[in-house]
Amino acid sequence: MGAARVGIGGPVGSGKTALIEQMLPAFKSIDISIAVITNDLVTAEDADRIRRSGLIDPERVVAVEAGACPHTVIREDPTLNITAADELEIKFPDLDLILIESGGDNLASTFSLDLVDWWMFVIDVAGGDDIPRKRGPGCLQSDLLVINKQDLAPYVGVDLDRMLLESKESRSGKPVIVTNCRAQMGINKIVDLIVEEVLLL
Amino acid sequence: MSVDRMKRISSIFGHVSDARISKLLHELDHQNLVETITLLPEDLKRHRLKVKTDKDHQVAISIPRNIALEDGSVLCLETDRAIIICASKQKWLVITASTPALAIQLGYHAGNLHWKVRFQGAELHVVVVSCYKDYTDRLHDLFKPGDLLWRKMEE
Repeated sequence: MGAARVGIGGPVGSGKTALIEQMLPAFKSIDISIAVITNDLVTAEDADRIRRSGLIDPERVVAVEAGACPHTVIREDPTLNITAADELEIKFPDLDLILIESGGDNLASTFSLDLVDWWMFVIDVAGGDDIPRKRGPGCLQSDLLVINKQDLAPYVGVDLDRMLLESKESRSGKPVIVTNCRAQMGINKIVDLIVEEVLLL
Repeated sequence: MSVDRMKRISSIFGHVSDARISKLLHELDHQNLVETITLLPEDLKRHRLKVKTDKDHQVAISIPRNIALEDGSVLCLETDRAIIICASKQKWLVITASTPALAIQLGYHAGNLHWKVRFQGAELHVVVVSCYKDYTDRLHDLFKPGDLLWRKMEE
């Protein structure tokens, strides 16, 4: 059947790579065999960071250089990412899960379901509590909305409760999870959701 | 419901249009043994999903990437149970511009907003993924009253 493919999108600096770094040991602890694909504009910055982390075999981390707007290679023409995922599955037949991190993009970014089975959109409180009210497709259509950097809310004048409420109201019942990746807060909830909804365990 | 009781589907058995399958489904239906999973049109592209049938039974679908769910897919056909896929209608926003210049602007904005569209004569048909308001709000932002006419459509 092949490995499940989960997309992780969101604006630059919202914490997508940090989230992956927190999820890797959590999946490892429940024996989920995993690989990661990162997307960057013209570098392999995020892939190099994950390879250096010591959290995963560096061979299991692949960088896709979009060379253009990051959303083009996860939505309009995801061929580069599909090929990268197919090659990972051939190289590592035991794979259960491939995480595909988008290059940082705007609130209109979404994933093609030709590429992923399920996708999450990561925003952070420091980006402003008006993000959910802007009703960008990333916030509206993702299978999971993650609001990261919960701990920064008091320092940037954000009413997190209101941000959470407005996020939930805009998503027709689809889940929203608040995280603080640096402190591992909320990570297990995301892992549990992926295990249940995508890995179907 | 426990995971053990969840029905697991790893392939598509067939399609309701197949005469032999249709006959068996008809017989099962008389015994109220046919269950339906209703999916949004955009969810037909998924290969892994957990859903409920109209009889509230949970189903875990995990199918190969080279096959696709479609309206009428038969997921299982057993002596005492069948499960079929039913796609809900696609929502469209049908837009007409009042002048050629505004039509060009509409096309530009639709592309910029990454809307999925088709053209039908002088109409632009936009696929509505979530709710109509998410699309009409954008049009209110970008155009003046009277520039465009729009209506909802399902098919």
